[in-house]
Amino acid sequence: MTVFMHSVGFGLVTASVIALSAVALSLQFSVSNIPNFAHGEFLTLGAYGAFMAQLVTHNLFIDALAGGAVTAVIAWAINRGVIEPFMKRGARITVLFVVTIALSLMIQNGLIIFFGGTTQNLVVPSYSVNDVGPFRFTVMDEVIIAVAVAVMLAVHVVLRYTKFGKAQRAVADSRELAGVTGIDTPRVVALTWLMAGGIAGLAGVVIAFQGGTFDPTTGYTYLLVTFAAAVAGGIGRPYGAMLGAVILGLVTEVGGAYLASSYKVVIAVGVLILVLLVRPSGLFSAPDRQSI
Amino acid sequence: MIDYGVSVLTSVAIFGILAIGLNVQWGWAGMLNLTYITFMAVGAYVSAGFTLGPPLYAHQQRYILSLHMPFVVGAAAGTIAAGLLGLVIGGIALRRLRSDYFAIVTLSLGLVVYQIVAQNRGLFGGQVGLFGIPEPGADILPLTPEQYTFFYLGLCLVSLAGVYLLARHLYRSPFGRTLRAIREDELAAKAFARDVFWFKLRAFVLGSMIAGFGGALLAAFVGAFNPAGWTPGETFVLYTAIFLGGTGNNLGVILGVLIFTGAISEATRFIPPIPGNPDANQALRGVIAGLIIILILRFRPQGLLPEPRDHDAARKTTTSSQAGAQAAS
Amino acid sequence: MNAEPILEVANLTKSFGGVQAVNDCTFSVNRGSITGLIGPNGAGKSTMVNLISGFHKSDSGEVRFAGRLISGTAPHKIAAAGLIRTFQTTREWASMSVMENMLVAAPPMGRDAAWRSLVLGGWISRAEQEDRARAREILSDMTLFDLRNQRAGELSGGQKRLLEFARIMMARPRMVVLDEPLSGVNPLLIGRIADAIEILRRSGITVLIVEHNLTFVEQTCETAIVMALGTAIASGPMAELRKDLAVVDAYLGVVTHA
Repeated sequence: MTVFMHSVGFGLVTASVIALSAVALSLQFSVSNIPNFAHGEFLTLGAYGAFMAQLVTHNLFIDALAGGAVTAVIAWAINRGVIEPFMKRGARITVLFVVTIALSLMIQNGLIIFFGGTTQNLVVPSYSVNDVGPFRFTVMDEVIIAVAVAVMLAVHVVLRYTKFGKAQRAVADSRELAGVTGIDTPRVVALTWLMAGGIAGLAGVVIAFQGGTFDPTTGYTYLLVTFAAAVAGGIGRPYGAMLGAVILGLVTEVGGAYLASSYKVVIAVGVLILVLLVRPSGLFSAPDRQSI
Repeated sequence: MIDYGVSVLTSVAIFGILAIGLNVQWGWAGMLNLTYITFMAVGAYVSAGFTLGPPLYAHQQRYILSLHMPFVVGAAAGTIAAGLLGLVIGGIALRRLRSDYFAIVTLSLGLVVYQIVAQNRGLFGGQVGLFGIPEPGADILPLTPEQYTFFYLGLCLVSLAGVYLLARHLYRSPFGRTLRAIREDELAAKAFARDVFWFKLRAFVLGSMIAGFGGALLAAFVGAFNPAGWTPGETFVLYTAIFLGGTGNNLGVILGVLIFTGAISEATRFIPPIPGNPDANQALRGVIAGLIIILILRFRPQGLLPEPRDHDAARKTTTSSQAGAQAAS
Repeated sequence: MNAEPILEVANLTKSFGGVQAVNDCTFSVNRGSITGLIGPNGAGKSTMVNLISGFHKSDSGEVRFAGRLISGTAPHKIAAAGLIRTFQTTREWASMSVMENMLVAAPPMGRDAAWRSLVLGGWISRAEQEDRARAREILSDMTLFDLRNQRAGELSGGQKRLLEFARIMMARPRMVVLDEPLSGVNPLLIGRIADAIEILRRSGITVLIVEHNLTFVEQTCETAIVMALGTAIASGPMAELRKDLAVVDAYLGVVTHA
């Protein structure tokens, strides 16, 4: 029983990380209609950003902010400099997707060239372990869950109550219609990428803080499970992504506790494929109508 | 120096075969298979398993098969095995999925296969992999080791020529033409009575089989094979080659392999390594690959060599064509 | 002209989410006729075309083609059975030549099998020569012969429309559903489209035309079916329909509601 509850606890922590990553991906997808294959690299960039900030200060809060900010800017630049020019020329989905693959290649390998391929260490305080109800958490675990919840709330507030949020939802619904109704679509898209980049960077920071180490491929290893969570929740829908993350986090951790740890990948893949084939519009929506 | 040249050319020939197979899936049918390298690996493992005998040191290395058969049998088995995996993965991934989701599903399924092979030591040696793979024909031909490298290069070049001719024939056939139509516009293909799923599946399996064949050649060339040889990134290297050379053009993809795998990759090998950063040269190849893909897609999406065009040469059989001259102007 | 129906639609219903696109629609099309399918915007005509051709699955109801039930069948099988449809935008295979477009449009007849082309190479190339000869004739009739080696994507809008008809002829269907064949066509070319439709009819192909241009429908179609709000409200020769109050109401009603 304790094994189960402990793995559920891990599942919640993992879910928090995946939630950050998947919400970011969903936001970005909702305005660009392509899955960003370089999304994992956004997480990695966040970790490296925090790493660089640690050269100046060991205040984790500032380090995290730095990581998120760096990634936000890079994400914005990628959209402005690479994605939008292709979209303006009416590039097809496949082409855009391949472009994001190329970006992933460049960023990941670029990081290897600059920083070396070996793992980097972050300076983090050692974590004491608490028992919170049936779960066993370290302080960092609790912080991660808190951060994830806070960010989810912030995203919710922005989407629901701010002018930008409303514009963002309109663009996500239909790019053409939004433009017609006077919304500055390119600006909304750019800001969404900024936001998504920041949240993804934060996810990477959090991953690095928890493990204490990271390397150029760290974020990439989360790409698949992020995508699975976003798809399960209905890709392009941030709220769905949150729920999808909880499902993926719990399922992979609990499953990984009872099967071997390497089966986490298999489980994530299984969920992804099942959803895509059976309920492509996500687990929480009506069955997809046929598309011509 | 010649030794090095022969080695590079053999690699180019083998990668050329792999590129043609990938081109069948992507260039002809528009399928973005992100785990193409897995099919090469299956061909390599199965072929090696067929040609190897039982392991010398059973406590260090275990694997299935070990049938000690000649290379021809091994290569055939590898090709078929890759085709079967293509049938399974294609059968799953090709069902009404958007092109980018299809790509992600192929990648994920490939990761599963990778895990299964890497984690199961008894299957194909796990992380250790297979080594001591016998050289085809080495025991029956009276060649010195140096002569043998030339022989093997010749074998690979002949194989490349064979695969190329096969591809060229199929490209111009009704089968290849229908695939290209499906790539252009699936709905129109359906409206003209083509079973799109079945066509794509066949193209997927064909590409997989070519990959398996290439894998068999590669395993025998290197003499060893393990998970390090088929990381997901390797597929992207092939894509760079075919984007560069000209997707859809079989000669073009060989050119792309020559330029990217041959010239550029080898060039990065000669750049002095950055002290303390042993992975940098390899990583440079990755950065260049990504850059090439983006530049090509932006400025010359069809690649260096454009797709060959059909040219109908015959003269008219009917007389109603004065308006034809009008229409053409 | 045969009074026997080749296409029978019975109580067809289809909704998307909460929107009822087609609502208990029934009509039939007679063999060898040129029939129009008209109605105001939002009447469900496009959905109907998709339902007939198998690109959408109906919620309920039946579609019969030459007596055989085809509702629920995959689109490529319906096309193979002899019912071909066009799309509102021309869907030529742009990077291939006009001639290649024709060759792909030809009925499959087992020539698409990859292994066949390897083993029975001679048989394939003979069959292909026949296809090419037939394609050349059709292209000549459509005044496209001299463009046959041009990339289909480089043709003008009107030429692309003619290519559509050429491909249809190549496919030798028993019936064709034209989804707004005049959209995007220069008014000067409408006569050519009408000629092309006449060529189809002379070959014995039944034609169902979805069109907004009522003058065109009047000139080319012997009879027309009127759809409004997802169902068929009237059918008959255009002259009669013009006098039918229900029809007039359907059209005017949409206009006044706008």
